[in-house]
Amino acid sequence: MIWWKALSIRARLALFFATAIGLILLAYATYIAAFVHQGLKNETLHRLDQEIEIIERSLRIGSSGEVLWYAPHDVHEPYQPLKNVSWLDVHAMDGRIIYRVPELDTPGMDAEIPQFEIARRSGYFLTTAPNGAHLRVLQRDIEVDGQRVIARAALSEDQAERDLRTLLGVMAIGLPLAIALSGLGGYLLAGHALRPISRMIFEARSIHAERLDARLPIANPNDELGNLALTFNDLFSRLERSFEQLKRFTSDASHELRTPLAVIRSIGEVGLREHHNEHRYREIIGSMLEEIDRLTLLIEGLLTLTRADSGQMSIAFNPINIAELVEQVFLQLQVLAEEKRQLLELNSNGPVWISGDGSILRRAVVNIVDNAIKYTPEEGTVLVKIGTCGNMAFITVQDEGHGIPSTHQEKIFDRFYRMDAARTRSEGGYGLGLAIARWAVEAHSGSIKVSSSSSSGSVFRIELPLLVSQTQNNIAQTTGKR
Amino acid sequence: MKVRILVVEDEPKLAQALKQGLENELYDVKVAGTGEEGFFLVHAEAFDLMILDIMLPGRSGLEALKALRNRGLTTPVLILSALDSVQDRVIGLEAGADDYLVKPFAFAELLARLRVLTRRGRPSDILRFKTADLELDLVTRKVCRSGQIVDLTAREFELLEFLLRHQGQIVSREMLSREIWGEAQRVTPLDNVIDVHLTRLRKKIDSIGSPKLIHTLRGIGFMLREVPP
Repeated sequence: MIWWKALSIRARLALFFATAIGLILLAYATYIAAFVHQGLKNETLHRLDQEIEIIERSLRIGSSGEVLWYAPHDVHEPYQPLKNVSWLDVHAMDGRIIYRVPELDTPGMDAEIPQFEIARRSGYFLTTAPNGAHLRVLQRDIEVDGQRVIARAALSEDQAERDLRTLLGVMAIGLPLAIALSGLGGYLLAGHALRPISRMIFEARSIHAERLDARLPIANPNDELGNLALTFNDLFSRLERSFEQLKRFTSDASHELRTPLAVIRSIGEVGLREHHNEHRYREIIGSMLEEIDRLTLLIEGLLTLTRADSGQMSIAFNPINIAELVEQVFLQLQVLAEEKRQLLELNSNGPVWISGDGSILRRAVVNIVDNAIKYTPEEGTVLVKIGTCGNMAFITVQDEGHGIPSTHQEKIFDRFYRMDAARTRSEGGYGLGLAIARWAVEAHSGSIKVSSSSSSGSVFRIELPLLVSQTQNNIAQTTGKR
Repeated sequence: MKVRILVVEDEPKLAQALKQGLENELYDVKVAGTGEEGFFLVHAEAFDLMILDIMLPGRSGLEALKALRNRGLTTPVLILSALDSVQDRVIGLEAGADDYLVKPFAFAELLARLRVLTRRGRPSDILRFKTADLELDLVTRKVCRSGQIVDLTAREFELLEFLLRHQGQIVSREMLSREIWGEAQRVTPLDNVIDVHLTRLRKKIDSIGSPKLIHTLRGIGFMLREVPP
């Protein structure tokens, strides 16, 4: 069926439509023809019957005891054979012709009338006249006062046949014409219906990475093609957003990479301008290495986020006691708070079990607690709380920093976002910490939010779904903790 | 007898830096710039160890490694690679490598790994460390300097033990991050934590005696040594 596939949808639809119409019309025509044929035949038979009946009524026994044709004079209308009767005859058993139409007076009439055969049985039959006409004949035995005669009536079916042939002829011409016209109509209709697709193809061809803002035209949003176009436009919107994100990220990353490179370069170039003693050279090189370290860390962070974006970060889901994880981070970072003579407080009530990847969650928690310590002034307080609320586990980190204005609150989780547009590095970091934290939390089906008032600091709240309670009980039992 | 190392690295500056750095550490080093050359050399001469960069022109480092292992070569191989995913590590180790180091790496890190591979730096069974007038006893968990007992937190003790174990060698932040804090990846907050701990340790150790033992090598790491580096 390779040829079928080679056709356009339009052609296939038209062909299919034409074939269907053709078959239907063919069936219809066949039925009509058969019906007409049958009707004509029945009419013929019926008329033959009537003739025979009339014949029956017209036979009498004559004075000599023979059966005679009798056209009664007191009948209103003289007997007239029905129109188009080819012939009518009545024979006695011995072959004597009692009556015959047409009269035998007409010469040559013999040649038009089939021979009479006594042996033939009664009933309807077809025969051919000597002159070639097709005749339907009814032969019947009639009893007239005990005497048996044989009556025959015949009607030519030629006319009927001609009529039928005319009908078939008309159909033979009309049917293919109808099929052709419906095929054409189908083709045009399909073309009209499919035209939006051609337009969509044309538009879609012009859409590429540089021109993702184009959209497919929608003629009618309610029909199938309209739905298709809407779906595609949705897709393009999503792609456009992704591309924008990617472009922005790439651009931001490039800028971020430039600064450390500039630092390295400057240190190196300035270092080479004069002669230094060995110690000073070591300082210079060491300083360059420090910057390279920072650059490496930045690239690591970028790689993590890129991988997270494309779904390449594989997360191992295991039961984890998030309270223990936070405690570990707490202990780890405590020295940093001590250096600033801050009070780092942890509020935890027993194990909290979730399903997740410890190393990834640890990064998120480290980043947030580290931020809190960084932005809280000396001798301030950082408060970390772990607990459960409904079927979620929560971790809150409260700092006493200068707060985050509401306009920035959603954006701080964006990459490279730092609140002051000048992007100072004085407080370290590259603005990736919170982005990584958000990715880490959301990859565990959790959420992270910040609430802040500009004077009293901010509270970061992480929520993660708890491990299903049955498993939780099992774990509690096996570890003996409750 | 010097340990002989074959470095298969196509980036000439890196190859040169490695050669020089390793020779400074008293290794005998030969450099091959392509996989084919490395393949040839490792059969022509005997090496104790091979450092293989898997991003090579022509014959890929991994293919070369697989071929070498198939031929029965048992020389320890350390892979250098810019690919850092777990998958890439697994592929490297399954191809027959003994260790996998991601670029850019701290030179001290490379040295530490080489020591492990050449069976130097076997975790010794030393129970007591001594440098100048600093003493650390692993059994009693006591630290003394100039005859005075020094009070250290558990973390600080671990830190000092590590430095003493590697005394005279460069200890990078990666090594500390990995060995003492158990973090697979180096992150900036942890760097700060390490710095703070070291500052405190230095305050406790170097303030009560001389000479200064704990040194910071800017951009590289730390070292515990009597003589400043």
